Amino acid sequence: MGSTSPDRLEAVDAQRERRTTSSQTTPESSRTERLLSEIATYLRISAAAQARAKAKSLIDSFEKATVYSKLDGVTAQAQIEADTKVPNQTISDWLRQFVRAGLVSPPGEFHKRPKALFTLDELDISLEALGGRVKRKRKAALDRGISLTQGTIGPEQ
Amino acid sequence: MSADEQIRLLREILKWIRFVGAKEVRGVLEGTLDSEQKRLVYHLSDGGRGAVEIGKAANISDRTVRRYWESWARLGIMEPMKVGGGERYKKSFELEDFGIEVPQVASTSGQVEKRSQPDADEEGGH
Repeated sequence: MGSTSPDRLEAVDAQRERRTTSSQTTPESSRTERLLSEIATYLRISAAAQARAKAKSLIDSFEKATVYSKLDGVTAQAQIEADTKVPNQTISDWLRQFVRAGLVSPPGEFHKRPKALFTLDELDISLEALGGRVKRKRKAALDRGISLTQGTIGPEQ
Repeated sequence: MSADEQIRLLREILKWIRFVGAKEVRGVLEGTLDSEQKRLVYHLSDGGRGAVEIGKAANISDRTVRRYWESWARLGIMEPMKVGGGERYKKSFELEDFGIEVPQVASTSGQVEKRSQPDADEEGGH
């Protein structure tokens, strides 16, 4: 597709659009919806690709990733605190970091609480991998006889 | 602005967004659909076919198909749609548009290519 001209793609798109809309009863609104939906899909994937590097350096612990995944624009911070056992102040600090990095949109017209702009999958962040890293850190610390209760929260020490 | 003008403008926006985003989308598709089987499942997921039908064509269980669908939706390359009492997923992109080869459907399931109507009774949701 990179080597394909935008005009050829537009022609293919118009063809598909005709096929799609010919079987539908409200052609105008369904065409608009389809176009908007496709625009949103492309924008989202492009944005996720751009955000990935920053996200990976920022969301670098299991707890941080879990908190991020719970930012659905609806769930209260107190509930996230209860679910994740991450202290409220830490969540607030992380939220500020996420918003500053453009990974979370602050409360606004469409949602009253912070909302993650991407899924962890889109950012190529694996909870399982981060969980494994925490276990390895705990094990290494235990081997050295050190408690790592604080070390699992926030960036790697 | 009339409806026609809006649609023309949206088409123009989409044209350039596609051009700019094509590399990223292809990267996600190639990275995710890393086997012929996955590419076939993705290609057949046109919203008209159910998980059972696609599973048969790709020689995997319908449960695996649904698991793929959910995972790919989280990546933004599929979108959910309501069918009957359940949910089905539809691919957001055509593999051919990105130069990705579409696997052939096995001859035993040749009928799969011809079907296009929803088969809601096989969808049980999740």
